[in-house]
Amino acid sequence: MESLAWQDPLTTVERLGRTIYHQGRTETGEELHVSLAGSDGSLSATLFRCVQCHGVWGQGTEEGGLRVPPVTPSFLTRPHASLQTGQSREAYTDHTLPRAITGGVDVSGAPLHSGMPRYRFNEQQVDAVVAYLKKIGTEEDSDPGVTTDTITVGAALPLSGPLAGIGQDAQSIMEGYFRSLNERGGVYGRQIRLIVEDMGSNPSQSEAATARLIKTGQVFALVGSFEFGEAAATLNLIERAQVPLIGPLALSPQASDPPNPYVFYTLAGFDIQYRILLDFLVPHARSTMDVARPRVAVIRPKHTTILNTVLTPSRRKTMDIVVEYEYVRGSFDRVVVGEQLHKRPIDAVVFIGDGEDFLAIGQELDRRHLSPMLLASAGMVGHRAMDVPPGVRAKVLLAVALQPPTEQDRDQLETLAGQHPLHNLGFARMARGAAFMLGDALMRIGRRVNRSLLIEEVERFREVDSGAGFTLTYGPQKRIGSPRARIFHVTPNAPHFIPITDWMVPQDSQ
Amino acid sequence: MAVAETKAPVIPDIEVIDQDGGVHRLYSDLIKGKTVALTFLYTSCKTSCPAMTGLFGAVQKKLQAESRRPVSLLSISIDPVTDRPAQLKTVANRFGAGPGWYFLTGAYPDVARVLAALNAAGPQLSDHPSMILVGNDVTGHWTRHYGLASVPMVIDLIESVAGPGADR
Repeated sequence: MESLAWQDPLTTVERLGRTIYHQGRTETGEELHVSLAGSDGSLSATLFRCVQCHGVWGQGTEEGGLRVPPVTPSFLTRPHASLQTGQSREAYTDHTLPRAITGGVDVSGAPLHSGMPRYRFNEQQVDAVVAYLKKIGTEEDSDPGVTTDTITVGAALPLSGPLAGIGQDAQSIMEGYFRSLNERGGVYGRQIRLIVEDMGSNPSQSEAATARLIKTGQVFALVGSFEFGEAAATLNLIERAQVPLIGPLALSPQASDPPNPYVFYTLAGFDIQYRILLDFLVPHARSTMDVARPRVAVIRPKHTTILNTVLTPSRRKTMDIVVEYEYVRGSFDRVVVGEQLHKRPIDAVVFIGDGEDFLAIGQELDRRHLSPMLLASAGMVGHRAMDVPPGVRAKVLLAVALQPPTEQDRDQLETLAGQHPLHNLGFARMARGAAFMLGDALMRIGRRVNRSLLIEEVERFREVDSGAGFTLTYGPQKRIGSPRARIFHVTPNAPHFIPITDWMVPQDSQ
Repeated sequence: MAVAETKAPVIPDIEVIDQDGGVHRLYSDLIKGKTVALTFLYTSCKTSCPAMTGLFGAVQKKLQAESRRPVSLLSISIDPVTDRPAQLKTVANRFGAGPGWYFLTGAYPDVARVLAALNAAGPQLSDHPSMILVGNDVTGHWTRHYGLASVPMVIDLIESVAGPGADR
């Protein structure tokens, strides 16, 4: 893959200038500052990145009545009369442009519009920005991974160890998708090339594999990388490097507030699924059991954070949480849990944990002749839900973030992958959705492509059908494309999972 | 460009939520009997809103440093559907908002009424005028500034609405 590695068309100085222009900091992450007109205070330059106002090609923007001028070479090197301030100025030179950036004054020393911050750059930094502004908007003004005929993207996947099947599925699905796209001419004359790094089945290798894709592979974007439950280091790396990650394969997205702006998740995580389960529980208890305030037992492992955004005061008000029991992960004691559930009357059990422990609770309830509703995320408990004894199984309610696949879905995925049975259809469909998102966004951007435009374009997705069983809507603050779930019953015979609700979103996100 | 209001605006006393989830009445809790500087923002704005919010941050520092009489700073979201308290809190933290600076959202129709009352509505988010309103509810003096301002300009506006004998 090294032979194809991307060669930077910008000089080191120009590249530094581009990083400052786009990111408001240096490549080493050095913090830069600005001050605003008439203020001696200091704010992070990341809040006032040049690109925000002057645009990715230096074309200028207009927002909120503020008309921001271009900073292209042709604009700066000619005299100009500003409509915004009414001032005229001569052409900028290498001597006067730095003063505009750091001192907020134009060629003749007149103050610039107060919307233009004073950037506290050192000489080397301001010279770098001035050097970059001579290349802004040109063919050389590109992000890594983009050449005249190729866009290189990368995925960090488990290709060895117990999760290897998931990684192999994802690789063959995405390769199949891009192969088909490339055979149809690629994207505006460029072929999409996917490189894959093995992260083993070990969360600690995820960051290193991602770093290899960014530094050695020089990828333009990441697509469909696998995300372990503990992903903070990798996500921090992605944010520092400002490389978009499109559609990570995540059982439950690492939602942060504010969201990591570079990571576009597809499906609802466990937090959203449990919020929906509890929102559903109260009206369901009323209509099926004539219970106005259901008595609820919450069984969860110690140190789980999933319920932090679920058991809000307003949700607690709608129900009586009579048991909150925390078990130690890996040593689930069914008898102790059974005793908890037998202590007082309970209408519903909300369970967080794996399929084996879910089954154990089901068996324990059956043994004690108890049959409360039993609520969990299907993604957590999986097919073990079908093994729960029939009396209890009839009361099982599972939140599902992705519609179960049909035979036709399965066939299409296997054809795309060029492969025999896939190991995990859920992740395979997420990989299909991720490849689609990237291809679709690139198609919408056009020939002139960079990372900022990719992010902006994905943010414009509104109810876009991924072709993988889910639709995607993003926005400036919205980084989970399909934050919905529906609730299923479990039946002993195929199709086993039958929806009893339409798609729902949590009430507190409406 | 600063324009004195010919008469004090009638501000709808809608329910608003601040960046910490606190619920207030816009007029009776946050404006009545006070001097306020008020602006609008939406958190997905990349250009004028960060500049305006940065300006308010600098104004707040200046006011604190000179321990003038309290001035409430109100940043009202014009995109209340997107901007919930969590989004506003993020912006408030980024810009170092201290006590007395409220980032406010509310129900969409209510916010629309405020925009209409203050003559600040626009057909699209990105069309909203970049504007600062400064008012003194006690004296009934209000003034507005279109476009971005500098810190001294905002301080001057605050001075200009203080009535005779104001305790400063």
